[in-house]
This record gives sequence, structure tokens and C-alpha cells, in this order.
Amino acid sequence: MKVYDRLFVVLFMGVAALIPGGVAAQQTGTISGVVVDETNRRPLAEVSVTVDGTVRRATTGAEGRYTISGVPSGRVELRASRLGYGVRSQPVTVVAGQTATANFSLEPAALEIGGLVVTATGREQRTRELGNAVSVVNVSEDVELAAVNSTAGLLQGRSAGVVVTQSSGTTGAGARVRIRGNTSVSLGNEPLIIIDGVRVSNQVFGSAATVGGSTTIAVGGQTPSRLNDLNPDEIDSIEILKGPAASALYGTAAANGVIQITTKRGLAGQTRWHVYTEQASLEDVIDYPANFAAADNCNVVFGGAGFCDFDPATVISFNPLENPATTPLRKGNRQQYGLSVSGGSDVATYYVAGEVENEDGVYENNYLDKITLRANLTGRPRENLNVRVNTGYISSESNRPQNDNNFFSPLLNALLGPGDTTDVGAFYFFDPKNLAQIQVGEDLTRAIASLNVDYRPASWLSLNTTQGFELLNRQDAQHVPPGLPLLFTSYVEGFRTNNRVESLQITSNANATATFDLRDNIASTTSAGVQFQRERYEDVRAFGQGLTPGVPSLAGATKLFSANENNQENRTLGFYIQEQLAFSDRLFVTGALRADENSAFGVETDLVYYPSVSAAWVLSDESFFPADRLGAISNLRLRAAYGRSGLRPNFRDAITFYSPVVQRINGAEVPAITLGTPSDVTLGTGQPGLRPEIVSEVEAGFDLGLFADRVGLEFTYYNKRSEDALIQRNIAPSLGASSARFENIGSVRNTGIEGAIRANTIAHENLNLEFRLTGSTNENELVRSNVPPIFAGFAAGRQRIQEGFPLGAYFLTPVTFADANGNNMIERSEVTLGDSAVFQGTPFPKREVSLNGDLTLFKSFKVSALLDYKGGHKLLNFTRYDRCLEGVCEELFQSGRLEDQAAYIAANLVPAAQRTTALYLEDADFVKLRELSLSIGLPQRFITRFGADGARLTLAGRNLYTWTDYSGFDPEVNSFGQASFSTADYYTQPPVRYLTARLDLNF
Amino acid sequence: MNKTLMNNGRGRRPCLRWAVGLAVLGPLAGCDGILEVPDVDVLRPGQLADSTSLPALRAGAIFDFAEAYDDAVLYTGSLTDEFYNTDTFNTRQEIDRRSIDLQNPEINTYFRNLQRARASAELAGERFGAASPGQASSPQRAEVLSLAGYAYTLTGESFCSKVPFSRVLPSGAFEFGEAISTREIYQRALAKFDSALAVTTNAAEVRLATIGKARVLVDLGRVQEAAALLSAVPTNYRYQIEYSANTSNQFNDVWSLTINRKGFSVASNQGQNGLPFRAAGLNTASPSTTADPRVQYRPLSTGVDRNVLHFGQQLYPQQGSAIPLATGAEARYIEAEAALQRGDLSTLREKLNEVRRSITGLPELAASDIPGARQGQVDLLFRERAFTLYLTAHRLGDLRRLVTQYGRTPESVYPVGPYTLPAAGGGTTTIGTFGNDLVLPVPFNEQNNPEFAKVKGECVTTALEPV
Repeated sequence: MKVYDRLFVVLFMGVAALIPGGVAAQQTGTISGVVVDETNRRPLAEVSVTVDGTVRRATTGAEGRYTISGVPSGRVELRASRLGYGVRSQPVTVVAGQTATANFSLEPAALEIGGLVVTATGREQRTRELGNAVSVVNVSEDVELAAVNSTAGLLQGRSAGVVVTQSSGTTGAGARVRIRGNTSVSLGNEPLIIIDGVRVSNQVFGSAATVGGSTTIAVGGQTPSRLNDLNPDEIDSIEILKGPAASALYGTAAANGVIQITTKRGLAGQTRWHVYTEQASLEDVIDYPANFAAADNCNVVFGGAGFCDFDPATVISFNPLENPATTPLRKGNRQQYGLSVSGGSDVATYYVAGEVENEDGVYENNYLDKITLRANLTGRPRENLNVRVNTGYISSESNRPQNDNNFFSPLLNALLGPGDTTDVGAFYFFDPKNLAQIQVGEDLTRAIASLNVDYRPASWLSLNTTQGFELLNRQDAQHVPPGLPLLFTSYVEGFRTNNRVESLQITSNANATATFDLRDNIASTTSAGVQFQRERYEDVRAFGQGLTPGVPSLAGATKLFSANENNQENRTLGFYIQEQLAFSDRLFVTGALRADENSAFGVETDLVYYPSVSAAWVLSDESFFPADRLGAISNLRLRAAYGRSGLRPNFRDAITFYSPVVQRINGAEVPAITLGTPSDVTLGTGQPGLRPEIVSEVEAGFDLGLFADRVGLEFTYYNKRSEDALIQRNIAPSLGASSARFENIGSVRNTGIEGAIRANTIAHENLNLEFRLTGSTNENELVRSNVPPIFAGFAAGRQRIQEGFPLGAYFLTPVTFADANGNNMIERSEVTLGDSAVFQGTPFPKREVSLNGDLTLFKSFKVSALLDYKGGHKLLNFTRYDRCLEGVCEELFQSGRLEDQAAYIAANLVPAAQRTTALYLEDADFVKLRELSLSIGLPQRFITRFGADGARLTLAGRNLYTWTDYSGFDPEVNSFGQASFSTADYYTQPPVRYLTARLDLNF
Repeated sequence: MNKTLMNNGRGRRPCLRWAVGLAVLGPLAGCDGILEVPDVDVLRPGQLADSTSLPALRAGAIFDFAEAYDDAVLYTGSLTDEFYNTDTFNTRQEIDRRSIDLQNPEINTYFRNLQRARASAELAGERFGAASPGQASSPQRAEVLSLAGYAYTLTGESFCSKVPFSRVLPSGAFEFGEAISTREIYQRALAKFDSALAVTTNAAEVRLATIGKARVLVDLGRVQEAAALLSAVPTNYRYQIEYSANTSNQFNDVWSLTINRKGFSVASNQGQNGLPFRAAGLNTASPSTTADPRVQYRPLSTGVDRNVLHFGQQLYPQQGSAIPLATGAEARYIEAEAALQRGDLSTLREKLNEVRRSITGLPELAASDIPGARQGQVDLLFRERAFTLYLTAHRLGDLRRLVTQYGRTPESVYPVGPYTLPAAGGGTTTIGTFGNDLVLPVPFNEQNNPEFAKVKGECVTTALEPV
């Protein structure tokens, strides 16, 4: 048996061994009741009802009922909590063999410090005990009422400090998710994703993640996010731990924050069926510009420079994207059909769901077909033992066009067309009709499973373990059929790439928590545990050229065969101990220490420690709190936290290695070796002393409830700083080694504030108005790097990783201009360039604000809207630059466009060392009407005809309108996809508008 | 399976035991191997220590040299009058325009590949030397030492006169080298060729090293000394760097960027001073008996930028076309140059014709073809070299020598004036003017070398230092 298998078994057995063979039967009874909304007396579903100090719990069904059996006789404390409502507790006396009744009436609360969150110790903890901010996203309502169509979309505008950027409007493209800014210079900045306690894939394509990323075939801004594989309808809640202050116990993986996803579980009670469907249309609503040309390839600027004689009478134009005969754009559509069934008893519950989804994007060769299945079971084989089994399966097939910076890009080919229809059908290189035959496909299957066992052998001791895995199989294939009229020989012959990927992640955790009272008013909770993580990645990549017509597989390749294999593995073993002291259930002080080892650390690196300490004080519960004088204040909690967590190096970052290659010598192919990775020699010269990147964070803030918690305010200040930041520094080429290597040489700081206001402004039986305003700021700076600037992005639009500036900052030589001779034209002599490139701005939003409003009328009609603002950042409009460089932009053919002429001259008609695209760098602030929906509860008399208990029709729009001064198509696009820093608008498909109708039926 | 384990020893550390015990994991005390992961795709330096790895090290040295050599052909040919640029990448066009940004990624790649070729060849030479006496004096060791010499030579001919050479120590630490002058670079090359000549008597490897040594001596202005070495080198001798269609890493990038991607086009009279490579060369699509077969091209419609006419070179028509590195022809030209410098015009003509006779379809030079004036004789010699050695990375070194050894001005030998390209629709397109770069800059990334950072301003690309 392999060592890690042994560990896996032992972690199981360690817990199992502690479960006594026969727990003495206790005298038990049952508690049941109904939970209602205090405002309108309507039953409340999905309320968690727990018996304090036990594993006994239940969740209310649609009619608000719950039942908990096996409750030890005697007096117990019963607690009811639900997101969006205040927590209520009540004592209940249970008599053996009898059923006690306990009803709850929950009041809507804008302040949510009474909720429960799952922590790294495996147990649920009350929010009021935590010294850090935790965001909880109410998924069920957002999915159904806003018709959110992706998991990344669920995070958009719903949590302060969480910035989700949709880099492309292509179906199947992913989104860039950043929590409290960019932390790492050279490692990924994606948060850690945990589903039902199991870590899952969340890497993106690019840089060192090329192996182990979300795809193996570059598709520019359309790189998929593995986060979006998940079906939002299966998700019950999402908790976001925003930084090391909250995520220290997750150790060497959590520096970018943690997104904990809990999938739905069955509810005790009668069997419930939920059927739903979505039908949507997708449309690209951008007004695209025409292409221009004139005689002798001349234009105003060339004429002004004396290169040619510009004759305005010869100007012609054509707009291939707006002409129905030539445009490759179409109306897309989306269908989704889902079914779930759930139910059970208080001993066992089940939740089984399935969904079929199809989305055809706005290009002919752009689609996504997906099937998701889930079966979650919970059981209570003993009174003090809970077992949960969660299984999920995803199967998808998608195809994306090669857009962005690519010869095959339909947008590039259309937007660089020659200005008439006589050449390649008005396109630059290729007619998109031919490009539509090129397939860049992904076939994916993904299984995620976990087993959670909670065992409480004594009232003061609880043990839990999570064992689980994620198995991901993917086929990435690019197929260029032979015979297409493409420019290059290799393309005309046709070629195919077929990469088979398998990724396995194993999570194995075991935790023990002991709770006892030190004194009457001091409770102690001590937790300790071990966590093991194994990540294995394998791929086999194959390529062949000269395809046989009609054979869409490598079997039809006739030459240039190549095959390669990549195998990588990473393992982490971590241990922690945590102590929490609760003083009078008002002041909570927690301290913890985690120690990690990882297989990718350098040989000289020992254990790495991640300490954390936090405190939370519910000031309003103190007797000295002047509640009478501050009557409006119903709740006040102060909190502060400090913690460290890390990011590990990649697989071979710490070692020096040689790759096998082949060299022809005297006509024979001979095995050879070369230092590092053979194609780009990025790595290969490792540093033995490599350590993880350590990120420390301090956060402090308060939660304030006003007017009986109808208004809630949250405020948090955070200061996050990395030490030993891993920077993939370029090394001197004269070493004759790799081009770069990872070194612990930097420090990155992120500071900012986060705020939220939630208010139930009107709470009337027939009129309810709620709004949620969240916002955050982020100041990012590379405090120390010890290396010369590192460059990112396009060469002509330099972004830098430079000490003293934000990561990815734009640095460009400034330009000024003036029409000195008054001829309504800018000439070279009228453009003044700065001496050197200077800081011009950051590509990442420095501030974001979201306003979410829900208006409910007559209980049945609900209107929801989400406005999303992001600002303080820049975007390089490289599309505009390139269209002018190629001489097709309208600006070059009109006199009087002085800034455009100056921009062109500065970018093209000066010596290389002085060229600058500074005038193509634009403010990218925007406000988007991200979501607007109308949801209607269908009349009971109508739905009963179909045997349904409830039905809801939702009409929703997404990406409805954008307010911005940005002159490009959309200020949110990025042709580099989810790359950490490289950012540019370069023939990237802008986000498309979704108009969706959704019908939910409950039986 | 013979697995390489990334055993960093951490799995055996006793420090973990406290935590293991704490976590109710007594059976696992010691955690042996938990953090060991297999690494089966690559080799570690320790695996290259024995003599069985020498063939792969030698082949690796040739592979790394091949990676650099096609870059040398493309970018030195672009800076001179061999190519004009029809690519969509500005960074490629700026080399052709002799106005090169320090951060030019193509030059960064070329410089790095040359240094990798040098380091790889030196490593292979060291490992052969440390193996058995038979290996230490083997033709293979001489071959890799010569490749190291050629890597130094190309570096000296291509870049400014402040180039550092550094190395990675066995411990993984970096030993940064100081920037040295072009003259010092050539001296290092000489030392490598001498080392090669000292370890073998095998004719092929001796010729490879001899031609290399002679080329460097010519670069140093010691032409007579160089010519004296070459009598034993037959005119038909040829050592080629081989490429292959076998894998994409083995492609000849001159083919990739001139034929597959039409980005570098055969030039003619570029920038007033350029030689008429295309005008005099052989159009393989429409052969003429009077055309010079040493330069072959084929009109390929427009370049990849679609605005400029493209003429694809035909010397390397396949992915796997080999590029000559050392030839008997070069040996004859060195002998011819020595004769010219001695004023021996008869030998000059004979040596030039020895090469011409080895090329089918190329007539011999008559006595009347030898100009009477010295300048014309130099022009003739360099023209013959330029056509025979077309696209073999010799032209930049020749232009430099015309300035530093023959007293020409840069403005009389490099492309100058308006940067004019043949337009796709007929006529020409002019985009600015040629810049002043005479050699390539040491790229920006070298500033990560603290020794170079001290003297980076001394890497001058617009003036040539005498060697």
C-alpha cells in the first residue's frame, strides 16, 4: 500500500476507532415545530434548527416544518437560524419517548451575525464568534430570482472585496475572481475553492499554470474557469473567507482567500420535487465600427507625413460585422432543464438532482452542452453520529472560437478588413465562415465526492473527518480541417491537437474539538487536526498534421506526429491546534497555529508555520452598553483578526532539471537533453531554498444593527502583506540557463476598506423593499521586489511588476500634442514625447460598489436589480491601436481628429525606443446594469391544475446596459483571459446580453 | 519503472511526529515518504554524471546550438541587407529598420539561445573531459568545443562590445560574468577552437574547428594567419546544423518565418547600400540561366502583413532543411581575402573561382571581372561572400569588418535612408527611415546580472569598436 493510501485509511480509521462499539442507549425524545416569518407569518423554508451541544439538527421544508428525533431528554437549548433573518433560541424540555413542540418566529434582519459558518476545523461556528468578516451568498434566491447562469456570476456584485471580471462574452469563457486584490506576483491569484469540504481545481491557463491549468490550448480571453463547471442550482450557500486573517487554518493554499461551497441537502419531511427550465436568448449588442481605406493606402496622417497624397474622395468603407451578409455574429440561445427530488426523515435525508444545459453562443462554432448530476445523502446511524455523503458529477462538451490575438479570430479578421468586399470577402486574412469550421473543443467529466462524519462521543468532545476527492478528465482538442483557404501551409494541410488530461485531488482531514467551561462565564473550545492534500496532474498531448479529409481525428494525420506527456504531483501535510475562549458568550478570543510541509518546498526548507489570532466582542450584549441612550442601536459587534497563510511553489520550481528532446545528427533522430522546458525554457534552473509565499493579514471592523436589526452596517479595514513573495524573476540570459526562476524576493501589500449596508426599508405584508449596498477599495503595491521591472501584457503596452507600484501597472511614455500651425492636423513635429515611460495607472479596479435591490409586491411579484460599478483603473484599447496601425480605423481618414492622429504618430511614426501607446490607454470605469429581473409567483388556483404546490415565473436580463467613457466595445474584456496581470482589449468578444425566462415548479 | 522521486527529505523529519501523535495518527509516526512525489518526465543533474549520458549531452549541445543558429540567420540577416520584414510583429520590423528597442523579445530570445548554446556546449565539453581518456580526446568532444567556439563567435559578431558570459554553478548558485569586449569574446572563441584542435585528429572535426578559428582570426583582423590554416580544408567540405520535421522543436525557424509564415522576405538593394540579392538571384518559379543560383527565392504573394510583397527564400525550403555552419567555401574566401590584402589578384580570382566551380550554374570570374581599384576588389570579395554565404549569419560580421577593417563608413555599407517596402498593390510603401543600429543590443533582461548593470550604458549599438 502506498504511503498516501495508508494515510488516507488511517485518517478514516483514526476517527472510526474512537467510535465505541456500543454507545449506551440514552433516553431520548423528539422536538418538532413550525418556523414562520414574523413580518407576514408565512412559513419559512431552509431554516436550520439545531440542538446546542449535539449533532441533532433539522432543516425546515417548504411549509416551514421540522422534526428532530433522538434528542436527549431534559432541558436543551434549541436554535433557529436562516440567512437574512435574526437568530432565535429557546429552551425546550424534552421528555423521553414524547414529542415537544417548539415554534419559531424569525424576524428579517439586515445584520447577519447570528448565522452559522463552516470553519476549517470542520465544525459550524456562529458568525458572532468570529474575529474576521465572512461573506455568505444566498444562492438559492439568486439563482431562481435573477436567473444567474454561472457560479462566477453568483459572486458578481454580491460581496464586498470580491471582484469578478467577465473577460469575454464567449459561451464557455471564464471570469477572473480576485478577493482583496492581487496577492501574488508569479503564482496564481485565484481563491481556493472547497466544495463540501473537498478542495477542487481552480487553476487558469497561463504562465506556470500551463501544465495543470484550466485548458491546454490557448484561446486568449476565452479561457474557461473551472469554477463555472459547477451548477449554481445545486449550491446551497457560498461562504467567502477573504484573506489570511480568516483562512490561516487552511495553510499553504489559502492566501488568496477561500470560497467554501456547500451543496444542497435533503430536508426531512415529505418528498419534494422541483422542476425548472430556463430559456434565454443571447445577443451581441455592440455597435461595431466600419473599416476604411483610400487610394494608395494613404490616409490623413500618412499624407501629413509626406508619405503619400491623401485624396478624401477615394475613401471607402465597409462594416462586415454589421452587414447581415458578412457578419459572423448571430443570436445565440440557451436552454436549461432541471429536476431535483429531496426528502427523508430526521434519521436520513436525500437530495438528488440533475440538469441538462445547452448554450449556443453568438458564433457558429461556439457552444456548451452540460449535464450535471448530484446525489447528497445524510444519515444518523447513531444518536451521536452524523454521516453525509455528497457526490457530484459534471459532463460537458464545449467549443470556443479562436478569438482575440489570433489569426483565426473572427473579430480580428472582421475589424481589420480592407474597407471593401473585394478582398477575402471584406476580411483581413480569413473569412469567418471558413474559421467557423475550426474547432477548439473541450470534453470534460468531473466527479467530486466527499464523506463527512461528525461524531460526538461525549457532550464535550466532537470528532469529524472529511475524506473526498475530485477526479477531472478532460480532452482539449483543436481541429483545423484540411482544405480551408488559410494562409499558412500547415493550416491548409489541416492539423489536429488532442490533449488528454487527468487531474486528481484527494482531501483527507481529521479534526477533534473539545469544549468545556473553565469557569461559569468562560467557555473553552480546543480543536486540533491533521489535513492531507494530494494533487496529481497527468496529461498526454498529441499532434498531427496533413489531415485526411473527412477524418476528424488524429487517425487521419499523415505527418508531423508528436506526442508528449506531463506528470506532476504535489502533496501537503498540515497540522493545527486552535483554542477559543468565550467570555460570557460576548467576548470571543481565538488563537491557532498551523504547521505545513509540502513536496514543492525547496530541500532546505523546513516546516512552515501559520499563526492566527482573533477577537470578537458583542458590545451591545454588555450590561454597560447604554442601550437606553442608543436606542437605535440593536446590535454592535467589534472584531479584529490577524492571520497568515501561504501559497506553495509549483511542482518543479525548486529544482534544476533537464528535459528530453531529439536532435537530428547525420540524418538520424538522436535522443538529446536540454536544460529546462524545451519550448520556452521558462523554468529549469530551480532554487533549492525555495519557500512558500507567506501572506499576513490584519483586519478590523464592526457590525452594527440598527432599528431592531432592520438596518445592518458592516465595516472592515484590511491590510494584507506578503513576505517571501515568490517572483518568477527573469534571470540574466548570459547564464545560459532558463529564462526565469522562482525566488522568494518580494513583498506585496493590499490595503482597503469594505463596507455593506443592508436595509429592510419597507416591511409590509404587501410591500417589501430591501436593498444591499456593498463597496470596497483596494490599494495594491509591490512593496519590495529586488529585481528590475518584469513586463507583462503587449510589448507596445507595457505593464510592469515594479517596486513601489501596483502589480501590472501600466508604464508608458507620456505624449502631448498641439496643432501649432493651425492646419487642423497633427504632424510629427507637433507631438512631444516624454523622456521615459512613467506610471499611468493600474489595470485593476481600485474601488467597486454594488447596489442590489429587491421589491416585493403582494407577496407574489418581486423585482430585483443589480447595479455594478468598478473604477479607478485603466484598460489598454489595443483594438483601437491595432486598427489604426493597420490603417483601417475611421480616425485616420478624417481631418480634425487631432488626438487620434497624435496617438497614431506616437505609437508608430517615431523611433522604436520612443514609441508609446499612452494615448490608447483609457479610463475603464463603468457602471453596469448587471441584472434586472421580475419574478412572479403564479396563482395557486392555476398551478394546482398541474398538481404543483408552487410555481414561479422569472423574466430576467443580464448585461443590460453599460455607462462608461471607455471608447472600446466593453471596459471589462481582457484578451489575456484570467491571466494574473496582462490586460488588454484586443479583439475580445464583449459580454453579450442575456434575456431569460425561467419557470420553477414545486411538487 | 525507474522513477525520479522529488525526495526533499521532508517526509523523514522527526519534527512532524508531535503533530502526528496529536492528530491520533500513531500508526503513521515518521511519515516516511508521504511527501515524496514521482517526477518521471525530466532528468536531474545527478543523473547526467556518468558516461552513458555523454551522447545525449553532445546531442543536446547540438540541439541548443540549432535553436540559436536559425535565430542568428533571421536576425542578423534582418539587421543587414539580406531580409526585409513583412511580419505583423513590430518587434521584428524594428530589427529590419535598425531601430531596436532594448526590450525587443526576438533579440532577447536570440541572445538567450546563443548563451544557452554556449553553456550547453561547454557543459558537454567538461563532461567529456571528465570522463575516460578516450572520451576526453574524442571527436565528439572536439565537436562540442567547436560549437562553444562558434557560439562565442556569433555573439561577438552580432552584439555590442560589452557582453557578459555567466554560469550556473553545480550548487545552483549564479556566477555572474563581467561584460567583455568584442575582442575578448573572439579570444575566448579562439581558445575554444584551439581546445578542440588539441583533442582530436579526426579530419571532419579538425576542419570544423579550423574554419571556426580562421573565421575568428579574420574577425580579429589576422587574415593572413587565418588563411594559413586552411589549405587542408577541401572546398566541398560542409558542416551543417541539422533541423527536422520530426518535432516542432526541431523545425528550421528560417523556414518557419520565411515560408510557412511569410514574415521575412528576400531583400534587394535594401536601403540604398544593400546588395541585389533578389534582383540577381534565382527566382525558382521562373528560372533564368543568368540568375545567380546562390540566392534562391520564390514570389509568395504578400507577406503575413498582407500589405507588402513577399519573396520566400528557397535555400531552406523545408522544416528540416539544414543550415551550413562551416564550409570549404568560407575557407577559400578567407584565402582570397588574404591574397587581396597581399595584392595577389591572381590568387584572389582563383580562390573565388574555386568556390564558383563548386556551384552548378555559376560561371567563373574572368580576369576582367576583377576591378582595378582596391575598393572594387574589396566590394567584389564581399559580394562573393555575401551571395555564397547568404543566410548563414555571416553578413553582419562582414558589414562590421567593412567598417572596422576596411575604413568604410556605416552609412556606406548598412541600409540607410527611407524605410521603403514593395507594396502589395504595386509601387512602394515608406514607413519612416532606417535607424542607426549597427549591431544588436544586449537585451534588457541582462540587467538582472549585477555585473552588467554596472556597465549597461557601454553597450553601444550605434558605433563599432575596433577589434
